Amino acid sequence: MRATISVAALAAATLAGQDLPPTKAIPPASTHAAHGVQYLDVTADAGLASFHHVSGSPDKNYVIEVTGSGVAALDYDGDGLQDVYLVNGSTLERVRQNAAAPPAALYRNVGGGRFRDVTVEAGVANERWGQGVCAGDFDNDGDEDLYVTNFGVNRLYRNEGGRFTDVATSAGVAVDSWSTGCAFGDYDGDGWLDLYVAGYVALDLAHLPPSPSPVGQDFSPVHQDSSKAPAAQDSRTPVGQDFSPAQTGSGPQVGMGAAYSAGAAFCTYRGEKVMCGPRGLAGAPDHLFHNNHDGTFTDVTAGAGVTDKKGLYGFGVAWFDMDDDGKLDLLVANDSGPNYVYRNLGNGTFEDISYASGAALDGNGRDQAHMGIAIGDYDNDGRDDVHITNFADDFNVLYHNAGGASFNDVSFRAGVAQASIPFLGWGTSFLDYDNDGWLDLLVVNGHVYPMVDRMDWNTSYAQRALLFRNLGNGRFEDVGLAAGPGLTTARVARGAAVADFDNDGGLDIVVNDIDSAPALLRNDGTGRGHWLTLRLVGDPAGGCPRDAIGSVVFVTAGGRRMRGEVASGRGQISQSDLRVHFGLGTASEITSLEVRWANGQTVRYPPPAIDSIVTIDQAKSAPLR
Amino acid sequence: MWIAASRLALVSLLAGLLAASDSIVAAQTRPAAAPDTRLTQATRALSAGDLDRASQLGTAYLKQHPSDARAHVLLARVEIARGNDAAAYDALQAALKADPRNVDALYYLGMVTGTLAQRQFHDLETKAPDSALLHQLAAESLAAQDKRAAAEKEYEAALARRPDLLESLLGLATLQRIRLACETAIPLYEKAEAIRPTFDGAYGRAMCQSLLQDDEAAVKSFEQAVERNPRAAVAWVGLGSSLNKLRRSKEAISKIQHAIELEPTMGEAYYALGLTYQTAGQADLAQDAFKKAEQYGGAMESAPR
Repeated sequence: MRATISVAALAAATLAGQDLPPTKAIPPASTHAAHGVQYLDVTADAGLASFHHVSGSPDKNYVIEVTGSGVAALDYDGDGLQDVYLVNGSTLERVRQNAAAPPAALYRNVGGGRFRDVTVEAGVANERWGQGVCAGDFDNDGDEDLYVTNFGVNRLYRNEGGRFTDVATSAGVAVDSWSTGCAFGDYDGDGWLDLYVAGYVALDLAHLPPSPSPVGQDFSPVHQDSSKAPAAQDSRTPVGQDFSPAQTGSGPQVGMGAAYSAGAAFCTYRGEKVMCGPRGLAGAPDHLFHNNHDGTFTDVTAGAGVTDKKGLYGFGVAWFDMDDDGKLDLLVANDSGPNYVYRNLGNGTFEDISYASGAALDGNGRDQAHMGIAIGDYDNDGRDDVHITNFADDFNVLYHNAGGASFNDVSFRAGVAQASIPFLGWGTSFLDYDNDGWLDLLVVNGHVYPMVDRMDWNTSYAQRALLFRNLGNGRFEDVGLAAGPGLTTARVARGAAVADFDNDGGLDIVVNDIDSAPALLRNDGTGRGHWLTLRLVGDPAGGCPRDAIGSVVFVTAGGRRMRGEVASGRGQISQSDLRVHFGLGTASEITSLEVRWANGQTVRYPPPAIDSIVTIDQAKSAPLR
Repeated sequence: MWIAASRLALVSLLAGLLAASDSIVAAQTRPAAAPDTRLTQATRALSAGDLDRASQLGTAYLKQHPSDARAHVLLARVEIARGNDAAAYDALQAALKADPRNVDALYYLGMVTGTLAQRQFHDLETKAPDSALLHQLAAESLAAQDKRAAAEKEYEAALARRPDLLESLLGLATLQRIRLACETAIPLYEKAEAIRPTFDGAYGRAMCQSLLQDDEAAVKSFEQAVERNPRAAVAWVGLGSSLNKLRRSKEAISKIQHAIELEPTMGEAYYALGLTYQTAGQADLAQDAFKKAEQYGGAMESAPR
C-alpha cells in the first residue's frame, strides 16, 4: 500500500470545494411541471411524527441494517379513509438479546387530515425486524388483512373487524428467513387470494460477513472459513489507458453494492471499505403459497415452477397481467441479478420467461441492483409497463410493454434514466399526480452507505425524491423544484405508498424513511385536473376475490383510454391504495367504464360522475345496458 | 518509459491491495514435504543477515530444484534486503511462474511493486512536477483503486496541461462511461478518435451510443471497433445488439454468432442472440440461446458498459 501514499494525498486535495450533489441540489422547476400542484410535508400535523423507524447502527455495518422497511396505505376499518401502517426495523443488539424490536405502527385516519395511533388496540406491533408489507382480503370476509415480512418469522395479520390476529403459523405462511417483498394475487382464478413472498439473503448472525467498522467486529464476522459463503467475483478491474473489455472480459462492476468474497477481510465499494453484500452472500428462497379456502395456504413454489433457482436476492414483487390473457403473471425484482418474469400458463404453473421477456436485464444485457417495482400504462396504449429502481451509478429502468409478454428498455429515450443515475432508488409508483390523464412517476431515494457524504461521488446518503411528469409523448421530465418541499427535501427513504388520504382526488404519498420519522406528503394545490376513484368489490361466489385484487379497469375520457388496476404489494415492499384512481384532465365526462374482473369477466358500467369516489360491486352494480 | 511506469503502478496498486488483505497475510502457504537442508540453511542465513551465504545456498538449491517457488521467494527476499527491488521483482515473477498461487510470492510481490511504483512516482514528481503525465499516472493509480472521482479529476488536470493526451482522454471517457455520463464521455471519445483512432475509442463511444439508445450511431462505432480489433467478441455482441434494435436481425445474428465463435462461453452473447432470434420470430432458437445464456450466466452479470 505504500505506493498509494502520494496519490492518496492528491486525491484528498481534489475533495475540497465540491458542489452539492445532484441528489440534494434541487433543479429549477421544470417548465413542463403542472402549475399549482406540489407536495407538502404534513407529517407532524397529521400526527405521524411519533413513529421513529430503527434500522441497526448509524454506521450501517451489515446489509440487514440498510434495506429499511415498507409502508402500507389501506382502509383497515372500512370507513372509507385510507389508514397508514408503518413497518419498523430493529438492531442486531436486540436480535441477539432476543429483545422485542421497536413496534410497527398502525395509524387510523380519523379525517380532517389527522391520524391516531391504534397499533396496540389493533394488535399489529409486529416487534420483529420488519421489512415489507402487503394487503389482501385472503379470507374474503370483507376486510383487508396484512402480511408483514421480517428478518425472522413473517406475520399474517388476519383482520377481524379492525382487530388483527397473527395467524401466519396456523395458515402455513410463517416463513422464517429474511423475506422482503410480498403480494397477494389470485393466480389460479379460484376467487381466493394466493401469496408470493420474496426472499433476500440467508443471513446467519453467527457468521456475519466482515464489517467496515471496528465496532461491527463485535458480531463474530466470518474471516477465514470459506465454506460459509459462496465466493463472489472480483469487482475490481483496473481501468487504464489500454482498458479493453475484449481483453479483460468484463468492465468494472458498478451500480451494485460491494460483493463479499469468501474469506475476505473486508468489502470495498469504489475503493472504500463498506458493508458487504448482498452480492457474494447466499440468497434466501422465494415462496408461492396457494390459498386453500379455509384460512390456510400450501407452499406450491416448486410445483408451480417459481422456485428461486438461482438463489437471487428478491425485493419488489408484482402480480400483473402482462400479456392480457386474463391470468396474473408475476415479476420479482432481484437485487444484483436478473429479474424473474413468470408467465402464468393457466394450469397452476408458470413458465420462466425472464430472459425472453426482455425485462430481466437492461437493454444492454446488464444486471442491475433491482429494488422497487412500479406497474402502469404510462403511454395509454392499454398495456402495463414496468419501472424498476436501481443502485446509484446506474439508471432506473423503464420497460415498455410491446405486447405478447415482451418488453423493451426505453429508459433513456423516455427521459427517466439520466436524471436517476446519482440516486439510489427504492420506492416507486406510477401516479397521475396532476390528474391530467397521463401516469407520472415517483421515485424515493436514499443511499446505503452513510460514508458517501464524505466522498466526492456525486451522490449523498440522504437524497431528494424524483417526480417525473409524463409529457404525454412517451417522455418524462423531472419537475424539480415544482415537486414542492415535501419531495425536494433529502431523506434516506425506502418504502413509499401512494393513496388519496383526504379523498380530495389528489394522490398523496407516505414514505418510510430509515432511522427517522416517516413523511406524509399531501398533494396540494388547485392545478389538478378532474378525477375518478373506483373502489371495486369482487364476487367470491363468482370466482373473484372480495377485494377484487387483480381486476383491471379501463376508463375513457377526453379521448384517452386509461388503464388502472387493483394491486397488492409493489413499490419497494409496500402497499398503495387498493382503490383505482384516474386523472381525467379537462374532460367533463367519462365516456366509457369497463372492468375486467379478476375472474376474467369483463363488464361495462354506466359512466359515473367525475370528481367522485364510486364503488362498483361485481355482484350488485348494474352493468351498462 | 512513462507508460511502463504507469503500468507498473497499476500492477503494484492491485498487488498492494492483495498484500493488505488479512487473509493473504495470515494464510502463508507451507509445503507438505520437509524442506531441503540447503534451503533451510539459506533461510537461516537470511534471518541472520548473511545475505551472501543465503544467496549462495539458495542459488545452489535452485539449480537442482528449478521449479521450487520457495527458493525463488528466498532469493527475492535476499534482493529485497539488498535494496535491489528490480531483481527481487524478477525472482518473484519466477516464483509465481512455478506456483501461481504461492501466497508468499504474492505478498512480497505486492511489497516490491509498491516500492518500485513509489520510486517511479517520486522520480516523475521530482523531474516533472505538475506535469500532464504525473497527473495521468496519478489518475491511473487512483482508477486502479476504484477511486474514480479522484481519478477523473487527475485526468482532467492532465488534459488541462496537455489537451491532446490520448491516454488521458480515453481514461477520462471510460471513467465517465462507467458512471453512465455518456453525454460528456462521447465528446471525449470523439476527441481521442481525432487524435488517433483506436479500438478503445470506437468501442467506448459505441457503448455510450448504445446506452443512450442512439442505435444507428452505435452500429457505425461498433463497426469501427471490430475493424480495429476483429477478435473483440464484446464489440461483435454490441454490434449485433444494436443491429437487432434496428430490426436488422439477420445481420445481427451473424455478428453475434461470430462473437460466440471467438468466445464460446460468453453469456451475454447468447442472451443477445436469444433476443435477436426472438425479433426474427425464431422462438425455438431463441429458447436455446437463452438456455445457454443461463448456463454461462456469470459472464453476463458483468456485461461491460
